[in-house]
Amino acid sequence: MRNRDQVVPKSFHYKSTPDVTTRTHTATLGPVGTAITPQLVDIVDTFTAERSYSSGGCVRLTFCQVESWGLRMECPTPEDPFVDSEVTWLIPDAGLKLTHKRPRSRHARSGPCTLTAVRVQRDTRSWRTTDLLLGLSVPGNTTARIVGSEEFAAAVSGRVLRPDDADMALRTVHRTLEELSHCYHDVVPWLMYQQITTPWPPL
Amino acid sequence: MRTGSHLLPTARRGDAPTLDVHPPKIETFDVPAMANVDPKGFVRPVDEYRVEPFGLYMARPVIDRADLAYRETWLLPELDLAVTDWYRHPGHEVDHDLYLDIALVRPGERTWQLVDLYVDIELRTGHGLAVQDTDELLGALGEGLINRATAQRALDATYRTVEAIAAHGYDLAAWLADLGIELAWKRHRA
Repeated sequence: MRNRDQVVPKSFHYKSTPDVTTRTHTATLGPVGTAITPQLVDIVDTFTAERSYSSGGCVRLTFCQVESWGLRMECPTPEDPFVDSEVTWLIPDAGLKLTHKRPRSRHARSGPCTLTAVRVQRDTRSWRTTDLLLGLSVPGNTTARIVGSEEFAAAVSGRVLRPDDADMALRTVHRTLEELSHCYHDVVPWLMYQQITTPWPPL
Repeated sequence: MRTGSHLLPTARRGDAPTLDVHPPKIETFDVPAMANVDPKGFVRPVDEYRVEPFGLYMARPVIDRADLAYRETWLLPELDLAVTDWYRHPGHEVDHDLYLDIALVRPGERTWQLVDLYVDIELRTGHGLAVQDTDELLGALGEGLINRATAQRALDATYRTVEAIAAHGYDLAAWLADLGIELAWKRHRA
């Protein structure tokens, strides 16, 4: 299934750095105590294949390629004992980020992929992604499951998430859930439905 | 694959410029009294109540509305849903046939209570659905008019309903039949 598009371009092939930034949980809002992850903003520089985060960290991508439908990238996860890297596809027209964690062990069972509502702004070289905290876990063999709704509700009540972003996240997830139900909750036909023919999952 | 069913809202209905943030609307269904107390406190006479293991049915005329003539509603507590068939006066027809309110339904021995959780789903049977008023839910959550747990419950009910109805070809009866629920209507048949 591997095609030429999946070969990592040498010009974008970097050695991973150990200082990968991860999500940081900050203040607890309200009496109940749901930890809020602030809206996570990251910017990918497609010229240098670097991904920088609003928190200040930066990581070099092992793969970064602009496609007609969006952006494909792969980010090393050296801090994760089970996951070798995270494959991310940004699909701006759908307002979604598709994520797959590539396990370290060849024998490990691949986990579900995740579709997360995002807001993507891009220019010639940079792609700025705002995570809207709500998404769908898509195992492929059963119904997609909502992920992040508790954090999302906390972010709305704590005004961490702007109302228009929150509403966009809900509309995006509802629409995607509906689309997935037409596609037997399988990402592959869903991608075809989005007119994305790049093979998934990435090899 | 594309069904043309994604009639998702871009804003509130009617493109209202301001968001109507309000506490949840509460409706009471008084079965022995054959009365329905609407969210404004008006007591409306009811033609028929029917209690089933899965829910409560009510049918009554709608008065003081230029667009609406009659109403049949099923309250389904385990699904956090109220399903309504609104009969409309000529000239006020809409393109959906069933209206689903995401709601907390509290059954009682004599009276049932419905707490409207803002989000509505307009269903065009066999064709598609449209989720409405998510911004009202978010506004109420942001203003502290409902708590996070209630908002999350509303979101979960919405996801569950959208997914299930879509998976059943936008046929509410087909979904509910899988759950062993059959809704009887005066003019709709399961």
